[in-house]
Amino acid sequence: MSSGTTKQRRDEILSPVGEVQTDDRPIATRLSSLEGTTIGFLDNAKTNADVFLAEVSRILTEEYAVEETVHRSKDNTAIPAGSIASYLATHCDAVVNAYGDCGSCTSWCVYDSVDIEGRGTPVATVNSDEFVRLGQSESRSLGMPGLPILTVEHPMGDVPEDVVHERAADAVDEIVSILTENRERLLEEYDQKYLDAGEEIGDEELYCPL
Amino acid sequence: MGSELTSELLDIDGSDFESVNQALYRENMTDGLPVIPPTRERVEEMIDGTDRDPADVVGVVPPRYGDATVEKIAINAVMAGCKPAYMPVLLAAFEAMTEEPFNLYGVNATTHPVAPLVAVNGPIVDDLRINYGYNVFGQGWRANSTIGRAIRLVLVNVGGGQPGQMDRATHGHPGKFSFCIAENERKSPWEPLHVRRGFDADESTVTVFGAEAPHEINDHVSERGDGILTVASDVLATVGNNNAYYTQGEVTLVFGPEHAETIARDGYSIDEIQNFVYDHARNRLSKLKTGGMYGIHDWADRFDVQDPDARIPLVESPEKVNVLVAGGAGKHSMAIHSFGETHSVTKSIDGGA
Repeated sequence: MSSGTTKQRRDEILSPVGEVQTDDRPIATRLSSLEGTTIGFLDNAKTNADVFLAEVSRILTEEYAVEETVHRSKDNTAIPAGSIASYLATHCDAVVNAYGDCGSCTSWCVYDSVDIEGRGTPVATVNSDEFVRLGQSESRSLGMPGLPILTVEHPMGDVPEDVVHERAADAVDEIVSILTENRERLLEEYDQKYLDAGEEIGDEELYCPL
Repeated sequence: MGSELTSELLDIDGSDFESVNQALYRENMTDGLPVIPPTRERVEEMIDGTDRDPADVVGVVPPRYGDATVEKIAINAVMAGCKPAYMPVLLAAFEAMTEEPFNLYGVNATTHPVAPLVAVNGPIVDDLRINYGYNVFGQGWRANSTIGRAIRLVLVNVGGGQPGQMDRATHGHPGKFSFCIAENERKSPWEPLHVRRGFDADESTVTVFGAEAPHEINDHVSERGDGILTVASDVLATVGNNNAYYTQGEVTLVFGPEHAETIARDGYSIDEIQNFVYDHARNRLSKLKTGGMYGIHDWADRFDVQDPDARIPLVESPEKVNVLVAGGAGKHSMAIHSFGETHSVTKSIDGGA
C-alpha cells in the first residue's frame, strides 16, 4: 500500500485487527472400526467429566468391542495436558476428551485435542453447547478448522450422576462416528457446524447485541 | 515511512470522527467508549515512539492468535488516546503477556473475572507521568488510562477477546477498561519490585499480573506491622477465589504508603512479609471442601493431611506473594487475587526512540 495521501482525499483509517498466520493442518486419519482398539479417555478435571467418560468407556467396551481403555486426568483445567496428551496419543488408537464448559477450560481442552490430532491420533472432543462456538473458533485459530466437536447440554457440572449417564449414552453414537467416519465426511459435517465463518458467537439471552 | 505500513484500510463512508466511531463500534473493535480515529498520519506518529520496525511481531495474542505487530499495537494505541512516548511500555507489556507462564490463552478466554494488570517501575514512571499515588487504580492520568486501554483494545482486536465471543468472562471487572499502575518507589520502604526481580534500579520495567479487581484492606487501628499483615491475610483467605484451589497462582498486595511504613517500622523485610502472608492467608481444609472448586482442582489434596482443621495456603510458596507499594495518604491497602493459573512476568522497557 503506497502512502501518497493528500489532503483532498479523505483520511485513510487503518484496521486495528491483527492478522492470524497459522498453517492449517488436517485432522488425523480415522479408525476403520473400534473393535479390538485401545481408547484413551482424557478427563480435564471439570466436574462430572470423569463420570461422563467412565460411562462412555463402559458402553464402548460392552457394545463396540473396545479391547482396552486408558484413563488419564489433568491436574487442572486451565493448563495444557502436555505429557498426558503425548502419552495418550502414543498408546491409544483414539481418544475421547471431555470437556469444555467454560472459557479457559474450553481453550485448553481444544488445544489438547489439536495437539493429539496433530500427532496422528483421532479425538472425539466434547464441549458444552454454550461453549462450543468458542471451541470451534479456537480450533480454527489453532490451525485445525475441521476439528470435530460434539456437544453436551450446558451446564453439566451440577447435574446428578444419572443425568450425566444419560448424556453420555446419548453422545456415544456421535463419538463413534467422529472416531471412525472418513475425514472428508467429518469435515463436511463439522467444519461450519457451530459457526459460519464470520458469524457472531452468542446466545441472545446472554448477550446484548451492539 | 507511510509505505512501511501494511494494515488494510477500513471501508468507511466518511472519515469524520462520528462516522469512524460508528463504524468501529459496529465492527466490535472498541471498548464501547469513543476512540480516536486511527488515521495513517496518527499511526505513523505513534510508531515514531519506538525504533522498532512496524512489521515486528511483538507477540502472538490468544485465543485468536493474531500477530501483535508494532503497527497493530500502534493503531490500537492511537484509538486509546496514547502518546507516542507510551509505545515502549505497550511493547514490553505484550512481550510479557505473551510469555508462556502468563497463560494469556486462559486469561483472555476464561469465565473468571481477570484482566492483565500492568505495573510500571523505574525512571520511565516520572518521564511519562504514570500515576503511582492517590487513586492509583482509578481515573485521572492520561498515561495510566490510555496505556491500560490500549492493552485492552489489542486483546480485543488482535487476540479476539470480544465479550461473549472468545472472551467468555461471566462478569468481567472494571479493570478491563484499563488496568495500569506504577509503583510508588519514593514512598516504599523496600527495594522496588523490579530490583527484587533482578533489574537495575535505573532500568524501567513492566510487570504483568493476571489479576482480579483489587479488594480493600482497611486497617485504621493497627499500630504494628503484624496487625496490618494479619488483616491483609484475612482479606485474602476466602474460599470463593481461584487461589484457594489452583496450585500455580500468585496473590498480590499493594500496600498504601502508610501501611507500608508501619510494616517496615516493625522491621519486616519483603521476605518476612511474604512468609507471614504465606503462613496466615490460609483456609481450613474442612471449609475448602464445602464448595468453591473443591474436587476440580486438587490443591488441598496435595497436602498429606486428614485433619479438617489443617490450614491450606493460597499459594505454593512464600515468593508467590507479590508486594508493591502504591497509593496516596490513608490507612488502606489492596489485596488482589489472581486467575490462579498464571504467573506474573517482568520485562525491561526498551528505551524507545
